[in-house]
Amino acid sequence: MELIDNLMLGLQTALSLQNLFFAFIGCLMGTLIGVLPGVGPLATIAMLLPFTFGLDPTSALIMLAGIYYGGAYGGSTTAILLNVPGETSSVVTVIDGYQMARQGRAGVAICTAAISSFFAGCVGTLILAAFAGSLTVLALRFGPADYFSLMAVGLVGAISLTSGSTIKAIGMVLIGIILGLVGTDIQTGALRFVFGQQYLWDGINVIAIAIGIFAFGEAVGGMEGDGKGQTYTDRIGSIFPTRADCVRMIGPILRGTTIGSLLGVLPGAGQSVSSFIAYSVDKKVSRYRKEFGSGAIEGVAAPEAANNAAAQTAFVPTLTLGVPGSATMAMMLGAMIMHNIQPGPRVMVSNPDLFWGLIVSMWIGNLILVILNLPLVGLWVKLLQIPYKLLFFAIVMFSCFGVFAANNAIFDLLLAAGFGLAGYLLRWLDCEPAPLLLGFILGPIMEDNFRRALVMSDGDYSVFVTEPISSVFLILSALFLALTLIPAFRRKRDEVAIDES
Amino acid sequence: MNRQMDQKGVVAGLFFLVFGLAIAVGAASYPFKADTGIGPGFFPSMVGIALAITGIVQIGAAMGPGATPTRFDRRPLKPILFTTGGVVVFALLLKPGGLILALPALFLCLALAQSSFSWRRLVGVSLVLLPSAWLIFIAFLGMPIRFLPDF
Repeated sequence: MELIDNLMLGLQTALSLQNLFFAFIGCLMGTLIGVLPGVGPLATIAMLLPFTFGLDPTSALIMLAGIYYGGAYGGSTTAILLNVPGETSSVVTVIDGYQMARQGRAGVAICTAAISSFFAGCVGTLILAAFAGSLTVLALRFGPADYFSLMAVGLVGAISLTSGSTIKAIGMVLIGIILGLVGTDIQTGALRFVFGQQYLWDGINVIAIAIGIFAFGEAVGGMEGDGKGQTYTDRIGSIFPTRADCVRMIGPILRGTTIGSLLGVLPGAGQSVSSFIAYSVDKKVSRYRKEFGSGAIEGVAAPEAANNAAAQTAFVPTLTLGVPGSATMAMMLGAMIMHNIQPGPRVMVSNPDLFWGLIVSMWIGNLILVILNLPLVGLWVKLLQIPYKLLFFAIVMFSCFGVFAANNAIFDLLLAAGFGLAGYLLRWLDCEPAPLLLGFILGPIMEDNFRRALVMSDGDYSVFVTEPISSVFLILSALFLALTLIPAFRRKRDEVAIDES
Repeated sequence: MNRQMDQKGVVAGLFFLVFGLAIAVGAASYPFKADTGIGPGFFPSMVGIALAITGIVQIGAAMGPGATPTRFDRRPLKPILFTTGGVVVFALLLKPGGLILALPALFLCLALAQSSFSWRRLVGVSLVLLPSAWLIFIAFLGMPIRFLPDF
């Protein structure tokens, strides 16, 4: 079977001692930074990305995948122990996880999160492996016009599924696209919006934007919530679930995995929406529904499984089509571009060992996380006992080094400071910055495809409508936009969706 | 200003409008046509115009009858100003002053950003993080940064 051959190729790549080592380091560092309260997965990736420079692309991507999972996993640990969702997708885990911690069962809650995440991660990886091939074959037929419209769908979908004002989100995407165009135009070599700054010739550094807007903003935001609420870092209890716990876990994990795998592929807030939906579905069907909200193990297992399955299948559009569904995925895409890999259908064809190595290493990453985190729970707990007013210094310091390390450029630090301030002001205007990052990453790719489509059509703009695939995508994006105008949809969406960042 | 208006929405819309127009005007100075097809000015000016239109729609929606009124809440600017200011100070001091000057300067700004300032905390944090930074970033990762000032 082709799938098995591919997975074997991936295993050969991922199981080399060197790559295993980098997967391990990635998971460890990702968890370390991800555990810090207020540091979301996106900021974690941006901060640690420079550590992957200098590695060969395969090892670098494997380490990045480790960072991504580590960051996500660290977030749920923080959520359970501090009653603070470190990332939006653990918002629901907080509800029952924190109650379990209050009952002295924090260890079991953390372990449940790890088991659910691991199972869901395995299933998600298999789904990713199974669909990547066929989607890639389809995507190879896309012309530039189709790509342009596909990215439009991706952007519009991401906008319409996140909460808050759709108009503002559109504005933020457009600003992101403009920022993405700064620098040397690939096709003509012309310099655009560089204001005489030589440092801008290669464009704005994605790490400067991500750390400026997200890490600095989150670090400052963390101070506002400091000292509120009780934390349960001193009594963790046993980490091993009882027999009864294990039996109760099975159903929610299976349901959560199914929901997460399906929703993760969608653009937009796939990850956080899926954990919300998994939680509410289980609250309806579970035999223990009365216990929800007061420390039900199902309330941890279902959303964590969903969230991790979605984190896995979210790679399907990112890797096969090159269209990220969320700001975090856009950051991963940006990271791959920095390693000179342009994600898209061609990667799988031209670089099969890298592609399948990455997929297998995702599974290995999940395994490492379980092995790593159960014994290390005590260490993360120690870390969380440090008051935020001290951690704040370390978070900002690491962010600064992350920005500087990308290009060894002082200019990037100044840019990041500027973006930090701008991001804060934009949040003040209720403009969520996540769509900006999506636009920033997709903008240049969209322009490139836009121009190539027009070259092929001899400058005929109707090509976007007359090409069948492209027109289907454009109709889809119009439908997505129209959906947001329906009040009932908006209400439902605002109940479920929290902006992914 | 009408008190019932969505004030944040209006300001956001104005920002989109001004930024979009500035980009559209700026991009107009780049050629719209090139030998290979579309020139470097075309796409950014289209995006700029789209942003300006988004701004107008946003202003309209914010001033319209269906808008949810918002007002500017008093949000403390001190934390973000001192944090980003600290990053600027760090950036400017890093080359001439080395880590030993740049990091404590950053920490001083961060301590000022916090709601309660404490010398003890500032000194303690510096004593722990300064050697750690040297160890991780200079000794281990070999980043091209000096620890001592550049005399």
